[in-house]
Amino acid sequence: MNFWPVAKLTFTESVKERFFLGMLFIEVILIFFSYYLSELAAGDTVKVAMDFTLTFYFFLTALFIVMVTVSTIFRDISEKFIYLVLSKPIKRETYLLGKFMGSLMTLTFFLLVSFFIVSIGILGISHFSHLVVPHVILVERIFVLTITLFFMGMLLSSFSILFSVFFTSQTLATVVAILFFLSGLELSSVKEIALSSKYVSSLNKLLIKIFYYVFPNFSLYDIKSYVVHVQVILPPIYLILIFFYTLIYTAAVIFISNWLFSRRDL
Amino acid sequence: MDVLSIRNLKKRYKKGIFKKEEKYILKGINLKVKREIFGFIGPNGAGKTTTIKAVMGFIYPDSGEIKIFGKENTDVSVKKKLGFLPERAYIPFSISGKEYLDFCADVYEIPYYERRRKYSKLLQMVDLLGAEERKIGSYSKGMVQRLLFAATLLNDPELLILDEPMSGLDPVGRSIIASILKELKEKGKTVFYSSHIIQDVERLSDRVAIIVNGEIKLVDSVSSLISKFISGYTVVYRRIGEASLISKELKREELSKFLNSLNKEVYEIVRVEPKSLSLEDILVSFIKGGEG
Repeated sequence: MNFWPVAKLTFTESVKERFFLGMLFIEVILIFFSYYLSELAAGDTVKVAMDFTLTFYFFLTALFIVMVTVSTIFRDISEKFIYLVLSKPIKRETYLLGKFMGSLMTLTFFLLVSFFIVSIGILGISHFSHLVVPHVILVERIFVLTITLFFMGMLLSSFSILFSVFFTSQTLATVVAILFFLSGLELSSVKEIALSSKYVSSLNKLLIKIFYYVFPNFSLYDIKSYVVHVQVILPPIYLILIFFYTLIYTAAVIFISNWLFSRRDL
Repeated sequence: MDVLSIRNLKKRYKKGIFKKEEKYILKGINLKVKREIFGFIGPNGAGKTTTIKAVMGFIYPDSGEIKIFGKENTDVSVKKKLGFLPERAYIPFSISGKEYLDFCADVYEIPYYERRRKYSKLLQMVDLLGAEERKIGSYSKGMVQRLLFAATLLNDPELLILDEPMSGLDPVGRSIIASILKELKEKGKTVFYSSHIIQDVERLSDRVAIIVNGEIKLVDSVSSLISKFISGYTVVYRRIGEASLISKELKREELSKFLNSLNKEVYEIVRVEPKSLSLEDILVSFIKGGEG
């Protein structure tokens, strides 16, 4: 199963799109914006500025991977490029895997550049605010966050592929993928509130539990507080566990996507 | 062995909100293509592209069998010997021509040391040498079509399936593609292509199939088809010993009687010219026949 040509082309195509540079440009703007927003907040303005920056980093990464994955598949299908690809000795599942790997390669490049931008931004904020946290610890923690964001992007990319294969409208697939991400992000808080509430019926509690276990839990990847607050400790096993969580979930979603895609008329 | 064989190919689409309405796009297509240039013609919506999509495995037929080189059309190994060009194809604008060729070469596992020579040869063939480093976004429609055609030949395919290969091309581009098709025929390759430019089909094809409303109406060689559709003759003759020529147009059934009468009298026959229907006229007559 040689997915490399498709992955390489997807990567080449995606990083040369204006969208790629545009997202990095937005990231820079938002870091500046975070600094000024923090001035308006009460309390520890440095922590608020860092929190804003990392929140933008988190959501921009999610938006980036959804847009890249959905658009690369939909463009191929609507503009018939997929006919050129599948007329060659490439199976449908190889194509989809190539698209997934290409999107991940694009994400890796985006995260590498973003890591430098965000680190410089955060170090800048801490420098101007005379923060006592050593820079090396901050950069190291931003790097750990970047790794978890890669895992999150991996899972989100697989779901974006699933929605791209399932829906026939690019807008619908994009919107559903983003809503799915937001739901997965909030589901654990909803579960906590619902299970501890006496006003929620036992049937609804059960349904929420089922949803909680079926839906991907995107809040696992949100380790902003670990970067902002030095006293928060993240055990290495956490990273190992979310790696396996991502791997198993992603493999299952890609498998379902392939099953759907292999039965679809193009 | 047939290069391409299609047996009883049927495809229907479901329409309406609840998909209860059904419409057959292909109503049992049967075709056999040997080592030849085979033209596939028909009006818009007749089922040409649907047939090609089914052959390429992009859509799944409701029934029927498609074999390429004796193997199932969905067999990936078959595609190593195949080249395909869809109608109005697109390549991502952000990549260069060479990057697209690299992609094709990666798929066919063409070694790096061979690529440069192959690219030069093919690009020269389609008059694009020197344009390969430019982004596709800066190419004209015709250039994209020619690049795609060149890329289609990268694996030296035994069978070429082309959906409207001349669309979007100017006369020079059409002539380039036509001469390449002739060259491929000389090399013993098979070309199966659809086109709405009937003059090209008439000029290039060994055999043609006419499809109307999802049904194959006729499969024949171009020369035999045109001779079958002779509508009449023009007889040019003169009185023996005179210089001035007389011409008369006759219906097909009137010819032999008229020639006999000329022989009996003092006339000599200078020439007899058949008045054939062009392939376009034949196609139009089938379309009108289908509608009426």
